[in-house]
Amino acid sequence: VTFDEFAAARLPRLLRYAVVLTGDRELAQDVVQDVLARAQVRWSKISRTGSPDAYVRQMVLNEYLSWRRRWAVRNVRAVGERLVDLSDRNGGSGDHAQGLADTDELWNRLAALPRKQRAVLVLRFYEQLTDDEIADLLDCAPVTVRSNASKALKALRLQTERQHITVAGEF
Amino acid sequence: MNEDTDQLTETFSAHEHLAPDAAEVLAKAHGIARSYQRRRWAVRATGSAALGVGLVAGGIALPGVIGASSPSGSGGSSVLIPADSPTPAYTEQQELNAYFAADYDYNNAEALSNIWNDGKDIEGVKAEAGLLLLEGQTLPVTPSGPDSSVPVTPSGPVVTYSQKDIDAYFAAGYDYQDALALGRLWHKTDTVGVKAEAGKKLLNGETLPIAP
Repeated sequence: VTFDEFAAARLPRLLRYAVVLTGDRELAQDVVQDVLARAQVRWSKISRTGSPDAYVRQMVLNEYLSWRRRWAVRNVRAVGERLVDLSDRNGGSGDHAQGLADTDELWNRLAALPRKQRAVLVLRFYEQLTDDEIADLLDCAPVTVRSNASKALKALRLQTERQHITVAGEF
Repeated sequence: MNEDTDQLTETFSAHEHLAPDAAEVLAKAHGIARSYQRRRWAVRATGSAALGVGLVAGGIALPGVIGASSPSGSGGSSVLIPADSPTPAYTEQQELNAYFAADYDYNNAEALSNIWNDGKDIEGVKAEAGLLLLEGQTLPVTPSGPDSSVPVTPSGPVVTYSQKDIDAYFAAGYDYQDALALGRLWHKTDTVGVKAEAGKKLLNGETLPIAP
């Protein structure tokens, strides 16, 4: 598969992944642009890995976890933009509007998480990966994944982690 | 899954629509890639100009590496390119050889990969780092090999190695760790020189004191 074929087939999904991962439209764009540029230069090698999609998604994850530029400023602005976006899209009241308001409220709380904790939640609940798979992507132990997820869910005041932690007191 | 996890999944899905425009991102990525490529070509061309006659037919030249093996002018494919040519002056193998000649190793490549955010393309990182070394630049990590005290500077003595000998070394299944072991046996710290000498022996039909 050529780079252009890859981009045509995978880029929209990659961008959705990036925006959920970063929580910021502009940061997602910067991260994916930089990753795609590097991937294009090295495409002959990446295409031989057997799973270029997984490779590039790993690059996006790495880039997000190490990104520092103007992070806080962008994040504050993006949250405000999203609230306006959702309000405009809803255009009304009722249960649906309340549901969207709830997701946006949770989205705002997610924005306050450390990046690694947020990444764990995205990989677990958006990408639907197992803790072992997440550990491989983050190059850490599964117990570290569970620890990060536990802290993140506690910070979000969600109790879900009770279902995932199987070894009491392992942290 | 319970209500809480459903809520997280729903929250992520509800914000997918914030994804940037794919066409715009791809166009900008192409632009950045072109600038990367131009920089890479420029580095390669500069490396060619800086080292000049350091590139010899069938061999590579590394500035500042002490403990050289004997030069070899026999055999091998020519990589000599005019200094002002925009054509790449180094093969990837030469970039890798330069990387290991400066006694960087796999762990250093992993550290560089983390710094450069290059995923798991460790071989690509080694080549990129080797190219920078050939160009005379400094890497942001310290080599962990035995020659870490030996500076690699453009002003040092020029040493040539036979690419053919080094290729024979790797073709026989030997690697960097083997070169370290051989270096200890032969009391040499220049791992590229060890590889070249070992490869020369292999081409002459001799057997090395360690298995690959």
